[in-house]
Amino acid sequence: MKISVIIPVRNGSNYLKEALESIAAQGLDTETIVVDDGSVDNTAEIAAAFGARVLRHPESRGQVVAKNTGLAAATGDCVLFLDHDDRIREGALRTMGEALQAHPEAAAVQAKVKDFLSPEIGRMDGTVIRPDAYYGLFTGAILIRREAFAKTGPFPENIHDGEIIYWHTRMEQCGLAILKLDLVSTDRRIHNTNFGKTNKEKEYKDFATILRARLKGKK
Amino acid sequence: MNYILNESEMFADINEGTAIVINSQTGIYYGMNGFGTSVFENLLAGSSVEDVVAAAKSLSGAPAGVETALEAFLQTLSGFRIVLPADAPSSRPAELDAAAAAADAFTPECKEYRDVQELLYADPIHEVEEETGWTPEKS
Repeated sequence: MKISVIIPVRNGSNYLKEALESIAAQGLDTETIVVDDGSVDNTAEIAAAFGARVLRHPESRGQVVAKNTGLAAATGDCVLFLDHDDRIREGALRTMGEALQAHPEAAAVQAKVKDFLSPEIGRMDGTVIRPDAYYGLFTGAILIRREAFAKTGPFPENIHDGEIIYWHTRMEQCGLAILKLDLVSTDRRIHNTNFGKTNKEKEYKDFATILRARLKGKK
Repeated sequence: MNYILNESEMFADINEGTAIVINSQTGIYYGMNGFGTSVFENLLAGSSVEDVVAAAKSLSGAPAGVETALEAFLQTLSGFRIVLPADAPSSRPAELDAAAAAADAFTPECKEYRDVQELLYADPIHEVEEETGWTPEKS
Protein backbone atom coordinates (compact mmCIF):
# COMPACT_ATOMS: atom_id res chain seq x y z
CA MET A 1 0.00 0.00 0.00
CA LYS A 2 1.64 3.19 -1.17
CA ILE A 3 1.30 6.20 1.11
CA SER A 4 1.34 9.81 -0.01
CA VAL A 5 2.29 12.30 2.68
CA ILE A 6 1.15 15.80 1.80
CA ILE A 7 2.71 18.76 3.60
CA PRO A 8 1.12 22.16 3.03
CA VAL A 9 3.56 24.85 4.07
CA ARG A 10 4.20 28.54 3.85
CA ASN A 11 7.57 29.89 4.98
CA GLY A 12 8.31 26.73 6.90
CA SER A 13 12.08 26.67 6.88
CA ASN A 14 12.25 26.60 10.69
CA TYR A 15 10.70 23.19 11.13
CA LEU A 16 10.14 21.53 7.75
CA LYS A 17 13.38 19.59 7.92
CA GLU A 18 12.24 17.79 11.07
CA ALA A 19 8.96 16.81 9.47
CA LEU A 20 10.71 15.46 6.40
CA GLU A 21 13.24 13.59 8.53
CA SER A 22 10.41 11.96 10.42
CA ILE A 23 8.92 10.74 7.13
CA ALA A 24 12.28 9.46 5.91
CA ALA A 25 12.74 7.59 9.19
CA GLN A 26 9.64 5.53 8.48
CA GLY A 27 11.71 3.45 6.03
CA LEU A 28 8.83 3.26 3.59
CA ASP A 29 8.63 4.10 -0.08
CA THR A 30 6.33 7.02 0.52
CA GLU A 31 5.41 9.73 -1.93
CA THR A 32 6.13 13.00 -0.17
CA ILE A 33 4.44 16.05 -1.64
CA VAL A 34 5.29 19.49 -0.30
CA VAL A 35 2.85 22.17 -1.37
CA ASP A 36 4.69 25.45 -1.09
CA ASP A 37 1.99 28.03 -0.50
CA GLY A 38 3.78 31.11 -1.76
CA SER A 39 6.80 30.93 0.54
CA VAL A 40 9.45 33.63 0.37
CA ASP A 41 12.02 31.61 2.29
CA ASN A 42 13.92 28.46 1.26
CA THR A 43 11.07 26.06 1.98
CA ALA A 44 11.13 24.67 -1.57
CA GLU A 45 14.89 24.04 -1.45
CA ILE A 46 14.61 22.16 1.84
CA ALA A 47 11.81 20.02 0.45
CA ALA A 48 13.67 19.30 -2.76
CA ALA A 49 16.78 18.26 -0.81
CA PHE A 50 14.73 15.47 0.73
CA GLY A 51 13.50 14.31 -2.66
CA ALA A 52 9.97 15.54 -2.13
CA ARG A 53 7.73 16.53 -5.00
CA VAL A 54 7.36 20.26 -4.65
CA LEU A 55 4.20 21.94 -5.89
CA ARG A 56 4.07 25.68 -5.69
CA HIS A 57 1.36 28.27 -5.30
CA PRO A 58 2.88 31.50 -6.66
CA GLU A 59 0.80 33.36 -4.08
CA SER A 60 -0.57 32.08 -0.81
CA ARG A 61 -4.01 30.49 -1.05
CA GLY A 62 -4.15 29.05 2.45
CA GLN A 63 -3.51 25.66 3.96
CA VAL A 64 -6.87 24.17 2.96
CA VAL A 65 -6.36 24.92 -0.73
CA ALA A 66 -2.78 23.68 -0.41
CA LYS A 67 -4.07 20.36 0.92
CA ASN A 68 -6.37 20.06 -2.07
CA THR A 69 -3.50 20.86 -4.41
CA GLY A 70 -1.50 18.05 -2.89
CA LEU A 71 -4.43 15.68 -2.92
CA ALA A 72 -5.04 16.28 -6.62
CA ALA A 73 -1.42 15.41 -7.37
CA ALA A 74 -1.13 12.41 -5.06
CA THR A 75 -0.77 8.95 -6.57
CA GLY A 76 -0.65 6.85 -3.40
CA ASP A 77 -3.34 4.43 -2.30
CA CYS A 78 -3.81 6.50 0.83
CA VAL A 79 -2.87 9.96 1.99
CA LEU A 80 -1.88 11.71 5.19
CA PHE A 81 -1.75 15.50 5.53
CA LEU A 82 1.10 16.50 7.83
CA ASP A 83 1.70 20.02 9.10
CA HIS A 84 5.22 21.16 8.31
CA ASP A 85 6.06 21.78 11.96
CA ASP A 86 5.00 18.38 13.27
CA ARG A 87 6.58 14.96 13.26
CA ILE A 88 5.41 11.44 12.56
CA ARG A 89 6.62 8.97 15.15
CA GLU A 90 8.92 6.21 14.02
CA GLY A 91 7.02 3.25 12.65
CA ALA A 92 3.65 5.00 12.82
CA LEU A 93 3.01 5.18 9.08
CA ARG A 94 3.72 1.47 8.69
CA THR A 95 1.37 0.60 11.56
CA MET A 96 -1.37 2.78 10.17
CA GLY A 97 -0.93 1.41 6.66
CA GLU A 98 -1.06 -2.15 7.93
CA ALA A 99 -4.20 -1.37 9.91
CA LEU A 100 -5.85 0.03 6.83
CA GLN A 101 -4.90 -3.07 4.86
CA ALA A 102 -6.22 -5.34 7.59
CA HIS A 103 -9.52 -3.49 7.73
CA PRO A 104 -10.89 -3.09 4.21
CA GLU A 105 -14.16 -1.89 5.71
CA ALA A 106 -12.41 1.24 6.98
CA ALA A 107 -11.87 4.21 4.70
CA ALA A 108 -9.43 5.79 7.13
CA VAL A 109 -7.54 5.10 10.32
CA GLN A 110 -7.12 7.72 13.00
CA ALA A 111 -4.32 7.67 15.54
CA LYS A 112 -3.62 10.00 18.45
CA VAL A 113 -1.65 13.21 18.62
CA LYS A 114 0.68 14.28 21.42
CA ASP A 115 1.49 17.94 21.84
CA PHE A 116 4.97 19.12 22.58
CA LEU A 117 6.28 22.53 23.41
CA SER A 118 8.69 23.81 20.79
CA PRO A 119 12.06 24.31 22.47
CA GLU A 120 12.25 28.01 21.69
CA ILE A 121 9.03 28.84 23.52
CA GLY A 122 9.16 30.03 27.11
CA ARG A 123 7.17 28.18 29.72
CA MET A 124 5.79 31.32 31.30
CA ASP A 125 4.00 32.87 28.34
CA GLY A 126 0.58 31.51 29.24
CA THR A 127 0.66 28.67 26.77
CA VAL A 128 -0.52 25.40 28.18
CA ILE A 129 -0.78 22.15 26.33
CA ARG A 130 -2.51 18.89 26.88
CA PRO A 131 -0.42 16.40 28.78
CA ASP A 132 -2.24 13.42 27.30
CA ALA A 133 -2.35 12.07 23.76
CA TYR A 134 -5.69 12.59 22.05
CA TYR A 135 -7.74 12.10 18.91
CA GLY A 136 -7.72 15.61 17.60
CA LEU A 137 -8.76 18.34 15.31
CA PHE A 138 -5.85 17.41 13.20
CA THR A 139 -5.23 15.71 9.87
CA GLY A 140 -1.66 14.73 10.72
CA ALA A 141 -2.73 11.56 12.49
CA ILE A 142 -5.24 10.26 9.95
CA LEU A 143 -4.39 7.99 7.06
CA ILE A 144 -7.15 8.13 4.45
CA ARG A 145 -7.78 5.93 1.45
CA ARG A 146 -7.43 8.27 -1.51
CA GLU A 147 -10.47 6.74 -3.15
CA ALA A 148 -12.61 8.01 -0.25
CA PHE A 149 -12.22 11.53 -1.58
CA ALA A 150 -14.06 10.48 -4.73
CA LYS A 151 -17.11 10.26 -2.48
CA THR A 152 -16.46 13.03 0.05
CA GLY A 153 -15.00 15.50 -2.41
CA PRO A 154 -12.02 17.71 -1.56
CA PHE A 155 -11.82 20.05 1.42
CA PRO A 156 -14.03 23.15 1.20
CA GLU A 157 -11.97 26.10 0.05
CA ASN A 158 -14.20 28.78 1.58
CA ILE A 159 -12.65 28.14 4.99
CA HIS A 160 -9.12 28.46 6.32
CA ASP A 161 -9.33 26.03 9.20
CA GLY A 162 -11.55 23.34 10.68
CA GLU A 163 -11.55 21.29 7.50
CA ILE A 164 -11.22 18.16 9.60
CA ILE A 165 -14.73 18.72 11.02
CA TYR A 166 -16.06 19.06 7.51
CA TRP A 167 -14.22 15.92 6.50
CA HIS A 168 -15.64 13.96 9.44
CA THR A 169 -19.11 15.17 8.52
CA ARG A 170 -18.71 14.13 4.91
CA MET A 171 -17.34 10.73 5.92
CA GLU A 172 -20.45 10.18 8.04
CA GLN A 173 -22.76 11.36 5.30
CA CYS A 174 -21.09 9.02 2.80
CA GLY A 175 -21.20 6.07 5.18
CA LEU A 176 -17.41 5.77 5.29
CA ALA A 177 -15.89 4.31 8.43
CA ILE A 178 -12.95 5.70 10.40
CA LEU A 179 -11.08 3.15 12.48
CA LYS A 180 -9.49 4.53 15.63
CA LEU A 181 -6.14 3.09 16.58
CA ASP A 182 -4.68 3.01 20.06
CA LEU A 183 -1.50 4.51 18.70
CA VAL A 184 0.22 7.85 19.12
CA SER A 185 1.36 8.62 15.60
CA THR A 186 2.16 12.28 15.57
CA ASP A 187 3.87 14.86 17.72
CA ARG A 188 2.30 18.25 17.34
CA ARG A 189 4.49 21.25 17.92
CA ILE A 190 3.08 24.08 20.01
CA HIS A 191 4.75 27.37 19.35
CA ASN A 192 4.02 31.06 19.18
CA THR A 193 2.88 31.11 15.59
CA ASN A 194 0.53 28.14 15.56
CA PHE A 195 -2.22 28.93 13.13
CA GLY A 196 -4.89 28.28 15.70
CA LYS A 197 -3.30 30.43 18.31
CA THR A 198 -2.88 33.49 16.16
CA ASN A 199 -6.17 33.27 14.29
CA LYS A 200 -8.56 32.13 17.00
CA GLU A 201 -11.47 34.36 16.04
CA LYS A 202 -11.23 33.47 12.37
CA GLU A 203 -10.75 29.83 13.22
CA TYR A 204 -13.94 29.66 15.28
CA LYS A 205 -15.87 31.44 12.57
CA ASP A 206 -14.80 28.70 10.18
CA PHE A 207 -15.86 26.08 12.73
CA ALA A 208 -19.27 27.77 12.99
CA THR A 209 -19.65 27.77 9.21
CA ILE A 210 -18.96 24.05 9.09
CA LEU A 211 -21.19 23.26 12.07
CA ARG A 212 -24.05 25.29 10.56
CA ALA A 213 -23.81 23.20 7.39
CA ARG A 214 -23.59 20.07 9.52
CA LEU A 215 -26.83 20.96 11.32
CA LYS A 216 -28.58 21.62 8.01
CA GLY A 217 -27.55 18.14 6.93
CA LYS A 218 -29.18 16.69 10.03
CA LYS A 219 -32.59 18.15 9.20
CA MET B 1 -33.01 42.68 32.48
CA ASN B 2 -30.19 42.40 29.95
CA TYR B 3 -27.91 39.61 28.91
CA ILE B 4 -24.47 39.53 27.37
CA LEU B 5 -22.53 36.74 25.69
CA ASN B 6 -20.38 34.70 28.05
CA GLU B 7 -17.31 35.61 26.04
CA SER B 8 -14.83 33.86 28.30
CA GLU B 9 -16.26 30.49 27.30
CA MET B 10 -18.41 30.99 24.23
CA PHE B 11 -17.87 32.00 20.63
CA ALA B 12 -21.04 33.00 18.79
CA ASP B 13 -21.58 33.41 15.08
CA ILE B 14 -24.82 34.41 13.40
CA ASN B 15 -25.17 33.81 9.69
CA GLU B 16 -27.86 32.61 7.29
CA GLY B 17 -30.46 33.06 10.03
CA THR B 18 -28.84 30.50 12.30
CA ALA B 19 -26.82 31.21 15.42
CA ILE B 20 -24.03 28.79 16.22
CA VAL B 21 -22.36 29.00 19.62
CA ILE B 22 -19.25 27.03 20.45
CA ASN B 23 -18.08 26.40 23.99
CA SER B 24 -14.33 26.64 23.62
CA GLN B 25 -13.80 24.98 26.99
CA THR B 26 -15.80 21.82 26.35
CA GLY B 27 -16.18 21.39 22.59
CA ILE B 28 -19.96 21.36 22.94
CA TYR B 29 -21.78 23.52 20.41
CA TYR B 30 -25.27 24.93 20.17
CA GLY B 31 -27.58 25.69 17.28
CA MET B 32 -30.65 27.91 17.36
CA ASN B 33 -33.71 27.95 15.19
CA GLY B 34 -34.60 31.06 13.24
CA PHE B 35 -36.72 32.70 15.93
CA GLY B 36 -34.21 31.83 18.62
CA THR B 37 -31.46 33.34 16.50
CA SER B 38 -33.44 36.54 16.09
CA VAL B 39 -34.06 36.82 19.82
CA PHE B 40 -30.44 36.02 20.62
CA GLU B 41 -29.18 38.59 18.10
CA ASN B 42 -31.35 41.30 19.62
CA LEU B 43 -30.23 40.47 23.15
CA LEU B 44 -26.58 40.70 22.11
CA ALA B 45 -27.31 43.99 20.36
CA GLY B 46 -28.49 45.50 23.66
CA SER B 47 -32.21 44.93 23.74
CA SER B 48 -33.53 44.07 27.16
CA VAL B 49 -35.71 41.05 27.84
CA GLU B 50 -38.63 43.45 28.18
CA ASP B 51 -37.84 44.94 24.76
CA VAL B 52 -37.80 41.48 23.20
CA VAL B 53 -41.02 40.39 24.89
CA ALA B 54 -42.77 43.57 23.78
CA ALA B 55 -41.61 43.09 20.20
CA ALA B 56 -42.66 39.43 20.19
CA LYS B 57 -46.11 40.24 21.52
CA SER B 58 -46.57 42.81 18.77
CA LEU B 59 -45.87 40.34 15.98
CA SER B 60 -48.84 39.37 13.86
CA GLY B 61 -50.16 35.99 14.95
CA ALA B 62 -48.21 35.93 18.20
CA PRO B 63 -49.86 33.49 20.61
CA ALA B 64 -50.66 34.30 24.21
CA GLY B 65 -47.90 31.99 25.34
CA VAL B 66 -45.08 33.73 23.52
CA GLU B 67 -43.77 35.35 26.71
CA THR B 68 -43.59 31.96 28.41
CA ALA B 69 -41.75 30.54 25.41
CA LEU B 70 -39.27 33.40 25.54
CA GLU B 71 -38.70 32.90 29.27
CA ALA B 72 -38.02 29.21 28.66
CA PHE B 73 -35.59 30.10 25.90
CA LEU B 74 -33.72 32.53 28.14
CA GLN B 75 -33.54 29.90 30.86
CA THR B 76 -32.06 27.52 28.31
CA LEU B 77 -29.44 30.07 27.23
CA SER B 78 -28.57 30.79 30.85
CA GLY B 79 -28.49 27.10 31.72
CA PHE B 80 -26.01 26.45 28.94
CA ARG B 81 -24.03 29.49 30.19
CA ILE B 82 -24.24 30.98 26.71
CA VAL B 83 -25.34 34.29 28.20
CA LEU B 84 -24.75 36.01 31.51
CA PRO B 85 -26.75 38.78 33.18
CA ALA B 86 -25.44 42.17 32.15
CA ASP B 87 -24.15 44.51 34.83
CA ALA B 88 -25.48 47.62 33.15
CA PRO B 89 -29.08 47.78 31.94
CA SER B 90 -29.78 49.01 28.45
CA SER B 91 -32.79 49.41 26.25
CA ARG B 92 -33.12 49.14 22.50
CA PRO B 93 -36.28 48.42 20.52
CA ALA B 94 -36.06 44.80 19.43
CA GLU B 95 -36.45 44.02 15.74
CA LEU B 96 -37.53 40.42 15.59
CA ASP B 97 -37.70 38.37 12.41
CA ALA B 98 -41.44 37.97 11.94
CA ALA B 99 -41.12 35.32 9.25
CA ALA B 100 -38.78 33.22 11.38
CA ALA B 101 -41.07 33.61 14.38
CA ALA B 102 -44.05 32.36 12.41
CA ALA B 103 -42.07 29.53 10.81
CA ASP B 104 -40.96 28.36 14.25
CA ALA B 105 -44.45 28.70 15.79
CA PHE B 106 -43.18 31.54 17.98
CA THR B 107 -41.05 29.07 19.91
CA PRO B 108 -37.37 30.00 20.09
CA GLU B 109 -35.09 27.02 20.52
CA CYS B 110 -31.46 26.37 21.31
CA LYS B 111 -30.22 22.80 21.11
CA GLU B 112 -27.02 21.33 22.43
CA TYR B 113 -24.78 19.12 20.30
CA ARG B 114 -21.89 16.96 21.40
CA ASP B 115 -21.24 15.06 18.20
CA VAL B 116 -17.91 16.71 17.40
CA GLN B 117 -16.96 17.45 20.99
CA GLU B 118 -13.86 15.32 20.79
CA LEU B 119 -12.63 17.26 17.79
CA LEU B 120 -13.46 20.71 19.09
CA TYR B 121 -12.22 20.04 22.59
CA ALA B 122 -9.02 18.72 21.16
CA ASP B 123 -8.16 22.07 19.67
CA PRO B 124 -4.74 22.11 21.26
CA ILE B 125 -3.96 25.77 21.21
CA HIS B 126 -5.07 27.50 24.35
CA GLU B 127 -4.09 30.79 25.83
CA VAL B 128 -5.21 31.13 29.42
CA GLU B 129 -4.53 33.42 32.30
CA GLU B 130 -5.17 30.73 34.84
CA GLU B 131 -4.58 27.08 34.35
CA THR B 132 -7.83 25.23 34.38
CA GLY B 133 -7.00 21.60 34.00
CA TRP B 134 -4.41 21.81 31.29
CA THR B 135 -0.85 22.04 32.50
CA PRO B 136 2.38 23.11 30.87
CA GLU B 137 4.36 20.21 29.52
CA LYS B 138 7.24 19.25 31.72
CA SER B 139 10.54 19.91 30.04
